[in-house]
Amino acid sequence: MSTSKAKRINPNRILNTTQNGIKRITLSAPEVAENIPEVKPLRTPTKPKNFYLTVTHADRGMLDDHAHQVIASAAILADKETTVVALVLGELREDIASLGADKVIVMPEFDYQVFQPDAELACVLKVIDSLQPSRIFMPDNMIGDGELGRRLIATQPSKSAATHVIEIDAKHVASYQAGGSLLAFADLPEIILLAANTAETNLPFVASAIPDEQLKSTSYTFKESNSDYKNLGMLPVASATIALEEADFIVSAGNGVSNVATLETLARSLDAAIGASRVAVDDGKFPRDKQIGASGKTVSASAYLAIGISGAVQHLQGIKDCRHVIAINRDNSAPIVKRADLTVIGDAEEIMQSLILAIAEAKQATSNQTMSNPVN
Amino acid sequence: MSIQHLITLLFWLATATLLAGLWRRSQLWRQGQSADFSWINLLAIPKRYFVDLHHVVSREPFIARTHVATAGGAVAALILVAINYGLMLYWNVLNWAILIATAIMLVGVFFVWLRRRNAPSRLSRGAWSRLPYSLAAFAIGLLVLSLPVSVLAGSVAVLALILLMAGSAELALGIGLGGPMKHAIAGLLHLAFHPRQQRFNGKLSTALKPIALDVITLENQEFGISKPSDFKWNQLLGFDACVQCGKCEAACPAFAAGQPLNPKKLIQDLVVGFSHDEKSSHDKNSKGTDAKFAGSPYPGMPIGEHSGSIHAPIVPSLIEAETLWSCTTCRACVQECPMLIEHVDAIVGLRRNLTLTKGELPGSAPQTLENLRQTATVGGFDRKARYYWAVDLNVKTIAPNIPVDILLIAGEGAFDMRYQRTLRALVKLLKAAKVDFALMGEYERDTGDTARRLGDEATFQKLAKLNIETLNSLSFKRIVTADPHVLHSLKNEYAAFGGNYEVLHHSTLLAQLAASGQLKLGKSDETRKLTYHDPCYLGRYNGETESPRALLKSIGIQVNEMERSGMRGRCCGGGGGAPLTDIPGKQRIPDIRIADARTIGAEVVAVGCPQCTAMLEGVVGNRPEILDIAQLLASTLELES
Amino acid sequence: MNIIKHITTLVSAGRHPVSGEPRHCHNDSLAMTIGLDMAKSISAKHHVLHAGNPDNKALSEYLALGAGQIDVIPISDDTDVVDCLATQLNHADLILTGSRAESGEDSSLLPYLLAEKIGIPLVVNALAIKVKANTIEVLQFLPKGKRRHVTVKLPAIIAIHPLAPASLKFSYARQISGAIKTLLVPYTSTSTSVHKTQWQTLASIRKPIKLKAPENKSGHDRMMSAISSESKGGAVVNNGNSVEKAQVILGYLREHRLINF
Ligand SMILES: Cc1cc2nc3c(=O)[nH]c(=O)nc-3n(C[C@H](O)[C@H](O)[C@H](O)COP(=O)(O)OP(=O)(O)OC[C@H]3O[C@@H](n4cnc5c(N)ncnc54)[C@H](O)[C@@H]3O)c2cc1C
Ligand code: SF4
Ligand code: SF4
Repeated sequence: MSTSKAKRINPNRILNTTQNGIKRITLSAPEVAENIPEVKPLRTPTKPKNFYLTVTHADRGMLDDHAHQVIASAAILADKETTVVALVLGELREDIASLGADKVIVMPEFDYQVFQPDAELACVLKVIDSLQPSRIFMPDNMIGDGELGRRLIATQPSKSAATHVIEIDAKHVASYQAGGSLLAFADLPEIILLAANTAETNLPFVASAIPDEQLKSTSYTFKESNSDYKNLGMLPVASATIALEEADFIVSAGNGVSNVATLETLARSLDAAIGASRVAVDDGKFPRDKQIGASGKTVSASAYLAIGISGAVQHLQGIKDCRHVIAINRDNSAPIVKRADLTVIGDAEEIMQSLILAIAEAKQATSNQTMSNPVN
Repeated sequence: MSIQHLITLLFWLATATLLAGLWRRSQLWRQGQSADFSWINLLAIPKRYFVDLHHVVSREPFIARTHVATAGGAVAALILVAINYGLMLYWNVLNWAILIATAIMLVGVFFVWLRRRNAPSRLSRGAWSRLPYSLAAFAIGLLVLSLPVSVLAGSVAVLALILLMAGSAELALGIGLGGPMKHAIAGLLHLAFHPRQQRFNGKLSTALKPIALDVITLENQEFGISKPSDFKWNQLLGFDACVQCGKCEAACPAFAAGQPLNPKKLIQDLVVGFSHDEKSSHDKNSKGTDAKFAGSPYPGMPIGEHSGSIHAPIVPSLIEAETLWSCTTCRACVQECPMLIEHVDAIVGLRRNLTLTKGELPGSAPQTLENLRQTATVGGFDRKARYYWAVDLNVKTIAPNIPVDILLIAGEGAFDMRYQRTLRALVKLLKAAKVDFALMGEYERDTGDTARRLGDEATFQKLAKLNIETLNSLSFKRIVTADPHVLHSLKNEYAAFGGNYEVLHHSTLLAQLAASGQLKLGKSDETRKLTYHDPCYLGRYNGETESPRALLKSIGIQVNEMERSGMRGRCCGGGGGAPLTDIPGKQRIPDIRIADARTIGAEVVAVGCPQCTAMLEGVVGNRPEILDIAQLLASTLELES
Repeated sequence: MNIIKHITTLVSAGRHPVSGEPRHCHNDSLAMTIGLDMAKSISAKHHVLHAGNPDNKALSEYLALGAGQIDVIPISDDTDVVDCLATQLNHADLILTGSRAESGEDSSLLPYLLAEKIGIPLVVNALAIKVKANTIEVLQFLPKGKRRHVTVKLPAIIAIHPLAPASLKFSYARQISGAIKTLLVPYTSTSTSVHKTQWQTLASIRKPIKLKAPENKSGHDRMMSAISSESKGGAVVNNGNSVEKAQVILGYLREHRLINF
């Protein structure tokens, strides 16, 4: 449950001391002195006859940010009369009341890693049949929802639909068309496949998120023997071997990285893929297929940690699609500083070592926490 | 039979052998495609030999003198033998003359031998190593035999005759069997039938030649050169002229960087290819291999693993694609070649096949070509954005109804923040000189230079035609550009498609303006040690080496020359699409160039090309600052005001 | 035994997002390349099918990429593409498509609508395909480097993922020697079987606006959140020892949910 109140930033003093005495610098959400959980009002739909349905896959019991945004946007757009029903495919071990779900149907048999599109579709159709929702919201993602949503659209020719929705409000949706060269608008349709980051998940209210056991028990009707598809299972992959183009977190080394082993340890502890500047590759520290930039790969990671990389244009070309760039460099006039969302000035080796320790501590703390408090 | 008659016999025998060999070799050349040529040019050989070829050879005076003595002595001796023995005159005076000629030759041969004793690695060994001995045998044999008969003991004469026969065999069989001495005949014929005749008119001839694209020209539906027989016959002849001196190898930046290219071996591989024919032989192994090549290999590629024949595809069995993609098209090899061989034409010809027919290019080259096709920019940019750097400069953009004196064409560098500084400096200078100029604006498409070097003649010609159409609809007197690649395409290569323009590099124009007093430059406050890097496409491709230096001098900057400058400048590695194909080597070409600058302690490298700027600025570590001529000049204007 | 005799790849007319030049659509070209390779390896016949304007310059790029021949169903803009493609796909044992077009609505819906229309199964996000008895084995893309193997009964539609490892080879020789054949099946019906969302396009691109719950904030609160939220220019941390700096990085990663510990 998010509890942060108004954010405050002191531009002059970035170092904060936390309750347990650790000095910490937080950038945009410094801890507020009085840390009292805020009580948000409970949203209760007045006449539960009108439904918005969200359909999202969970991964290992958790919904990702994208799914959160989808549920939250349904809740934001729902009027006082409308009940938001969240259909979650796969196990769910998190509380989604803060996202505004009034009812929750969890179908643990639909793990996203198992390919069973016809069974999933049958389930969704069944739920739709029972609820007759006026709108259906789904994440347009690659873990099955984008696909399931389209299968649904294809079976519902009478319903209006929009995919790749990048902007949504009470009246309309927008999406890029013609190869991203046009922005197109349409009236809010009945089936909406939302792109990532289209909605805030921080709501001023909570909902009751009551599990709907009855719907759940009637929704699985599929007979596997009829299927045209067979799931043969996942292929094992290690994040270090992920192609850079797909990696979501990249730790990248430049000329300023002297110790490759440290970098590899850091990458492992962050479960990140390894990239490198051309100079680091030329030095023989990394194979050529790790090179990022104009003459190497173009990457689109959410997090790009540039260590000892000056940020020459040719390198920046390769990371133009990265969302969060964090630089470690000892020179605060290096061009990477302009590109980075956060730059830490200092020696690469030292900071990497400290970061490795900090991560280990943090992981330890989290696992202790989950052990003492298994369901969050 | 007397010794004299024996010599006569030997002479005619040798001559017949030589002619038979020449006929045999010419059959190989004739497997190539037809080419325009004229027999009359045979008459031009002496001039071309003594002027054009010697101009190259004389850069290394020791070798020049050695060659003059050896070849001059040999040719003189042969002519005298032809007269005295061939025509059976047997005059004593001529014998004395022969004696003198062979003595001169022997001195030359002595130096050849000396040189071979600690030969630089660029020289080939193998058959070439025996040359001082076989030539000495010829010279000594003939010298001894031309002594008055009275002083010759019989046994000595026999020995001398054997030596002469051995030496003559080298000369006579060379052409037929492809020995080292084939260079003499092939070299002379190459001078007559050279594919770039303009080279002998004292002009630069650097433009690539267009190929027809509307029909598939060759019988096997291939564009460009796929197999040795796809070369023009006079190109094949040219390859045969190679003396394996390795000057091209020593000049080649890709070779120096450890990339798998050696222009000398490339030429030899092509010779292997066209001098073997699988079909005409019963022997299955009649594919020629490169095993006999006795020079430096392509770096990282062992010798003896490649083979080819006249009708077999060259890539990859004879030459690997990486070899071709390593070339920066800098023309340093061509500039250095004493036999005036055209390596770049061969390389681009082979690339054309890979690109146009197979569509196989490494690295980011395919993406670049796609960008050029779809956006008419190298980087896939919006053409409208090309002149964004000039929005606040208050410069007009050309339009059909706006005539100007000078049209400024910025090139691809205009999309790069770094090069925009150069362009802004240039605009400032043109304004200071009160030149009537305009920018090309949205009309500008890439000239297609990179596409052409990468072998994509189709995209190049498409862009060239579109650009010419646009340029012809505009009204200007001259074009100025800060990009030598733009300069080269527009000035030298567009003519073949009907685009004839007066195109100037910015340094040329600025030098003219400064000389005429129209541009008043101040004195530079630059006190650091400065050197000037000649862009290949400005120097070697366009002969402009003076204006940049003159300009720098005029603002009070002394230019300290690096090793390899001017027409023989060392490449930055940026041309020919090489940064796109990005073939791995041991080091980077620009690192080598920056090392040149560091060696002379330069703290500033002046440049005149966006590619050179990017390549040299890509060198990491403590390196000299890279500044364009325009930036250095413009800073003196600030001082004035 | 090989049960695949005909493979059809559907290609769309692309356009460059910046210049608007007609071009091949990269995703469709990947599908076509995979189709051509498979057809060659199992000696099946490969067809390239396009519904649209046969004069579109984009088509010749598919020829350059190896299509050989492109069959075009000439249709006007208001004709339903799905319906008219379906009429031409009776013989195809395997239908390949890209995963997102770059002209029109780019909704990535076409393979789904087509599968529904013809009534055959569909597998999307395919990276590689292999023939297995009377099924096709597909290697599927999942994010974060994950991969899955599935099989699907034939005939089927398979949509190729943009990261499929196929290298496109653009050859001018193939471009000018290939053929574009207009099919003589003038398709007339303007179908209404599929709902069409009415889109209105805006030529200029702007950043999308995020959906937010309406909040009752004080002016001061709003100002504070404006200052602190997603500040653009990067923060630079000069001070502190390396432990503190490591904490800054960790804090940032947490704050943006880039790590989950
Ligand atoms: C045509 C062309 C194509 C190119 N393509 C690419 C490409 O695809 N990819 C690419 O990366 N480059 C490319 N380059 C090269 C590019 O221009 C740069 O040279 C290169 O990116 C620099 O690599 P770097 O940042 O690792 O090294 P440097 O520029 O040497 O930077 C090292 C950085 O590390 C910092 N540093 C040093 N020591 C430490 C330390 N102990 N602790 C912390 N920081 C330290 C320094 O302050 C500096 O900022 C290309 C260049 C050209 C000309
Ligand atoms: S090509 Fe020219 S420079 Fe190179 S080895 Fe042969 S003769 Fe010498
Ligand atoms: S043009 Fe330059 S890079 Fe190419 S072979 Fe000749 S010297 Fe080498």
